[in-house]
Amino acid sequence: MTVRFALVKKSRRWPALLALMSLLATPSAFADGVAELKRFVSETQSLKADFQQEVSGRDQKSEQARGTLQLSRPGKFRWIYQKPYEQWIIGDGKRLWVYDRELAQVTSRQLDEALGSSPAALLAGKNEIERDYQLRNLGKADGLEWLEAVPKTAESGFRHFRMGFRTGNLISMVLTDNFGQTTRLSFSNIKKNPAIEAGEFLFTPPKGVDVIQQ
Amino acid sequence: MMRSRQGWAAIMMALSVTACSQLQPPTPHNTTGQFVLPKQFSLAGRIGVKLENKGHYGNFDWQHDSGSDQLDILSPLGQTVARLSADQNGVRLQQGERIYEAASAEELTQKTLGWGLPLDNLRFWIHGQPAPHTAYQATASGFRQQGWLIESEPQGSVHPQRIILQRPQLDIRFAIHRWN
Repeated sequence: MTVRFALVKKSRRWPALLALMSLLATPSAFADGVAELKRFVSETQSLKADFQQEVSGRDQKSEQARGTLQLSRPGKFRWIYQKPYEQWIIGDGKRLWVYDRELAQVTSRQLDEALGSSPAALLAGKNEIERDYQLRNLGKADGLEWLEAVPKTAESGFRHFRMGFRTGNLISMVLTDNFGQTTRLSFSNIKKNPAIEAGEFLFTPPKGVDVIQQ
Repeated sequence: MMRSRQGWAAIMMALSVTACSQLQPPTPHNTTGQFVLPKQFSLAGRIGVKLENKGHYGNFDWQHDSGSDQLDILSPLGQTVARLSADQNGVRLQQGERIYEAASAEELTQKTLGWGLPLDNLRFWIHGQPAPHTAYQATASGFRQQGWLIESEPQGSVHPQRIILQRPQLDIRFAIHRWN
């Protein structure tokens, strides 16, 4: 955060120097996954993207879902599954809301307890990834720079996850849980730092739905 | 958005009407055409449990194969939060490193989660059908069996999209997005 601020300040004073510096910055400056993550975190204040999710690992069957995500640092996100079912996961900065339209149920809990249960929460946080996970570079595959994150505590529910970046954008995430099941997330239509209305991160339970405190 | 909300309101209305219709005398049930449980079935969806105003919610994946069941509760991302396995040797609930065992799923979930999942009957109920060899009463929108009110949508389908199980202070709902 402070680094970013300093850069912004500098860029006002020495735009030419900054341009030169970025020209000089060879691709190797960002060539590993951990550096790409740091770049992503420092450059991304808000994000919009579409996602596709594929859960596999049992009987060669895979469960697919897709939707959209929006996030705003710190701690606000809107992760919406649209197909094949509608499930809204909204972090308003204080609470985590999960709304299942077909069940007509909303669950609500403190966001800090819920952190880690959604990659949106991870991505929307400040630097929780580095604080809570052991990071390791995995090198290049499929045109992406990969890193592996292993949780420092056993409570996160997954064994590890991998993140694949290209030019400072998070393109793919692969999570493996404690039962060996794998979830692959692919992001597309990525918009970095778009203006997002504050209301997108608020949630008011619709009338007639059950609200459950978890 | 508005239209589907109204649709939802209509369903809720229908359900509350149903609640009144339970007071009507039960329709005598037809014992012919008894539902035979498939040897194998699998389904995925979301489960919501409400115990007074507390509860649990998660995605689920259930596989039944000749007398054994595996019911996984998953996070929205697909991480397995808990796994309930039942076979002729008993029932186990695995939550992270912890494993609990009991003779029945209902007893096990009652002890560990605070509410009992009637798995033995649920194999039939999830198909919108009463369990065999036990009395039940048909209602306008489902049936009553062993202290539970079971309602499914679409009614009569053996692959329903929604199931609601209710008993005093406990409401267990399933929304199913995949049947195999």
